[in-house]
Amino acid sequence: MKRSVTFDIVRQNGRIDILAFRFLDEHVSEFGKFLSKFPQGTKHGDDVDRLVRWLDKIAETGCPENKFRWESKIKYRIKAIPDHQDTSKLRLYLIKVLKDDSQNILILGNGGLKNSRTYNSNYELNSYVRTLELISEQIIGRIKGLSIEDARNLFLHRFEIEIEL
Amino acid sequence: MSTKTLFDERLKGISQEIIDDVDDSIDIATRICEILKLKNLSHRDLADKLHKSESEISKWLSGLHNFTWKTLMRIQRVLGEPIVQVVNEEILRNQDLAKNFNFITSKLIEINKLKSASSRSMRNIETGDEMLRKDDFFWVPVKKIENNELRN
Repeated sequence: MKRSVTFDIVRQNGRIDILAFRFLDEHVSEFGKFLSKFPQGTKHGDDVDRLVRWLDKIAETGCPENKFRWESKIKYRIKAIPDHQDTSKLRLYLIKVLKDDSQNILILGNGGLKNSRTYNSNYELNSYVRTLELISEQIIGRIKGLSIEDARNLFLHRFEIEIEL
Repeated sequence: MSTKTLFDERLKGISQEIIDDVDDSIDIATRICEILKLKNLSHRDLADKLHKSESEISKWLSGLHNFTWKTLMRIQRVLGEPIVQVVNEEILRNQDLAKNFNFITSKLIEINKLKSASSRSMRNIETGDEMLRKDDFFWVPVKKIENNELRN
């Protein structure tokens, strides 16, 4: 099934642009759904709050070092946060579009609780990562050869892609 | 509701405790990275010094790690540079002095900028009189100058 995807801007004008992908036929982005799954005051609400605060901070200051844990194949540039597996089972998946740490574009996807050893053995998490892989494939193709500035500008205007799910 | 609004709404509801935790964690990670860069050390070097794995160090530097005091002191010791500082009255007083000094300096810079940017005359917004600069701080109405009131 083909589905169109667009990108909602969450943060821009700082060092890192934060976007969230959304299926064009839906009103809420996948990251929006992630937030709704873990409301404030619930068991994992605090973990989500930490991620949200962290994203807000790094959007402005940039990442001094590589702060993400790789998931999937390296070519897809998919990462999971947080990286402290020992203290939290919560995972939020995203695409780190560029290689630069100080200036970048993050595309947030969906996430959930990782109760299995790998994300692949969890149907829900696997589907989130698979969707990001498909998006990543197209985006990386589109930004190839572009400067950081041009790549960031690409998402400022209505940018849509189509993926085969 | 847009994703940005959802994000902003969520941010607004975050407790001060979590905000402080995350901010401190990011600041500490940033400071450690700063020292590593300054000393030309890699994550591997720090891992070796602490007898830890490189992935453990990367996790610590994610900005989401909850450092124990003991770990921080160990990192500080092996890097030989301060990361966190315990304050006392003297340090706080010095910080206040530095803050005041910085405030005064910034105001003087502003005054100098205004001085060089503004023309020699302007108009008083209350009386409408044309004003001329007497010195760095005082402006006087043109009328007074015409009446020789300002001649020494």
